[in-house]
Amino acid sequence: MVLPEFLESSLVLSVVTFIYGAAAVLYWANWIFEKPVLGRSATWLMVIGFLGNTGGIALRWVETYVQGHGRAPFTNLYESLVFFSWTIALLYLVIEKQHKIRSLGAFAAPLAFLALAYAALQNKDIMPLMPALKSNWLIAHVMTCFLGYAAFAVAFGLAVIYLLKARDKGLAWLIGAIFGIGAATLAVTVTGMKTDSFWTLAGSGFFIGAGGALAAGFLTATIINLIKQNDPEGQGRLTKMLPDLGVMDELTYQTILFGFMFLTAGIITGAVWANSAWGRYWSWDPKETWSLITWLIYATMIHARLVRGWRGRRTIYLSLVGFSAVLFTYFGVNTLLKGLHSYAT
Amino acid sequence: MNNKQTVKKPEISFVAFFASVKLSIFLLLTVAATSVIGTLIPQEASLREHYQNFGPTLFRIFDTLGFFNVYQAKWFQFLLGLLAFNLIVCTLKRFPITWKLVTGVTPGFSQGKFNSIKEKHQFTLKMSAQQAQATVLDIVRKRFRTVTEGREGEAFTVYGEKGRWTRMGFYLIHMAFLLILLGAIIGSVFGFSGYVHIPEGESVQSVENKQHEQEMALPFTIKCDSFSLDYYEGTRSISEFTSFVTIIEPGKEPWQTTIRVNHPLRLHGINLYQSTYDISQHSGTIDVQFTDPETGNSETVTTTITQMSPLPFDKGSFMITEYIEHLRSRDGHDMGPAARMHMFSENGPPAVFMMPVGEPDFMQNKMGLDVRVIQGEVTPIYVTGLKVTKDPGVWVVYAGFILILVGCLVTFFMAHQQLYIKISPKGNRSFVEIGGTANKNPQGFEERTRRIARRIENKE
Repeated sequence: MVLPEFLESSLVLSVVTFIYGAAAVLYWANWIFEKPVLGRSATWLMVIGFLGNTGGIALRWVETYVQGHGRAPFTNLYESLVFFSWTIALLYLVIEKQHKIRSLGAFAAPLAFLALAYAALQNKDIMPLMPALKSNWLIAHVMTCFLGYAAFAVAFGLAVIYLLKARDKGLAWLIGAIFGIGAATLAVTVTGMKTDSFWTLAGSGFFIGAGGALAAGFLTATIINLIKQNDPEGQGRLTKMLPDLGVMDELTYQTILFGFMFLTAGIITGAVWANSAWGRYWSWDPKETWSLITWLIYATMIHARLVRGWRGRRTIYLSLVGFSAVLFTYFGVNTLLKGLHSYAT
Repeated sequence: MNNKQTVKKPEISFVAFFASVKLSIFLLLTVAATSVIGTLIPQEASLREHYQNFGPTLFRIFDTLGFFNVYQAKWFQFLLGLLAFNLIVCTLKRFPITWKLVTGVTPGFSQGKFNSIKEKHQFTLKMSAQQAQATVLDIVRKRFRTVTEGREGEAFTVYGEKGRWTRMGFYLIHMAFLLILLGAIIGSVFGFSGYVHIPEGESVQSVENKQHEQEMALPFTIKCDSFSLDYYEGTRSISEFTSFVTIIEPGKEPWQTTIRVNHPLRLHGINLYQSTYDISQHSGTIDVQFTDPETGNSETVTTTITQMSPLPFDKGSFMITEYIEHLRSRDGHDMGPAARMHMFSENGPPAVFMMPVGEPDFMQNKMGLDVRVIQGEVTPIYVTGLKVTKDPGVWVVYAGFILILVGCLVTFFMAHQQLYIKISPKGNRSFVEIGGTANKNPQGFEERTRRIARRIENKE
């Protein structure tokens, strides 16, 4: 089979990356300027991006056959990131259709964009499958896991909106943490080019990271305080545009339930697969363990909410902790810890 | 899941402590936090490696705390046991209440409950209250399993209810958790796991149990006929490891089958997985050329690996004891295939040296002969490494898996829904009020109630 040259999955997906980026900009513009035409175009761009993303995955599937070792396109970090952005876009579009919450797009579209942009940095070679991956469980395992991850990502977006609407101090912690980790990673990368000493690396990472975290955290806290002083009732246009706290709280929870169910299914399909490939359904390998840790954190949140009646801030905070565990399970384990999932890097 | 305790007893009883959700939350988070340890300290490393990594003091502390084997440590299993116990006590305490609620009589329309619903839909229908009740009943019966009708003074009432049993859903998840733990215990008590390494052409009928360091007899003999490595065309990536085996069972004809990665052999409750492979030795023939430098006479001898052959010109005998596929130089460079030569003379010491195979230009002079290894026709003898397990608990665990998924579906996405409708006469028209409650996802049910109200409103 011969495909026209421009129809190459990596090229299609690069274009999709920019479409998601443009959609994100439009969602932000819609939130700030409140023009219906902006919102509608953002949604259309998101739909086009999603279709392109679907096409990109399908093309990649075809390309594996052209190369002679046909297989599902879900087998390395690049392919999983592409699928991750696909699931985020899909879930977001469903929620937008059902609940008419366009402000969520301002957070979901950037996540889809970031996943694809990060994918662009990965190795895109189509490698044949190693024997352990040649299994019918591959598709079921990846699909369920990533539906779970994407739901948690969307729930994270919802939680951020909740914090924005509530003008909660938690935002300062969140932004501090993001900047801290970013600064630490950057510091370690840059120092790593000059030295191999573990303590120099750890020291620069720690101090620069902590500095970045404190600076960003305090800045955010100050901004929140300023906004609160100027607008004690939360009547400002940007705050008012966001849905009610109660609605956000419930929707975040529903999304997490959806994610929890798929994470459970993902862990189970993984266990059944491991039992047929390695003769053990559970080996306490770092990836498995971290997925269990994620599961336990969200399970705690569900119990706190259902039985102890937690609502609002506290469950939102727990869901943020849960999402950081998701990110660590997905990225941290592959880069920092070794285990059976080593092929996923 | 009614957690509103009416009166808090002053004494904290044993049952109350172990039935508390606070304990569950504490345990869930503790298990999560302690699980992290095992991912930071590589659990498969040897004690010696740990000692080198952590130094004597930390090593002693970590070793005492069981951090090198967290998930098998007594305290970790105690935490899991406590969580299970918490779950059982909690279930025993709450189950009778839920059971009564689920199997009890249909509560029907209650003015008190109706008043407590905040958002109600109200509209007027151009028909008598009695007619309106019939219309409403028609619509509600199609959507709700249990429907009752009644009177409330002048007014007619309709009550619809469905999904009361879904209040039991979370017991399924909890049961599933216990089943998975039970399956894991059954597996560790009655199961075993070990490895067998079978060279091609040989067979085994027992396996070494890793945990108990003892030989376990298998109910059959397994013979490795051959092992094959397949590559993707034109690449060096392996596409498949396959062991071709013959199974010999007492009182049965021997039969042949294959074991591949992801395609284990399951037989009499024992599973055989393709795990590793190795090359034990090589078989085949190698052509060695010997030249007498004085006369210039040359003779090529074809020798079989590990078999003694005579040297030409009556110089003695020689043997190739080993064939190596990739000889590594001191700096790790791959020098290609090589053979280990032993030459024995009638008198004097033997010579032992390595020769590259298939490089006729390479020559070594030993015992007055120029030796060249021209070529070889060599095939490796593989050893297949099979993992052998027996785990009678796996089906219990799988049952738990199915139950947990069903439980999640019921608990998260199905609700106990109750619909209250009151129809009051208003002249020859009727005034309809509709309100609904659900124990889960109230917004979702609110939407449903709105749709039902609209349907009734448009029915006139």
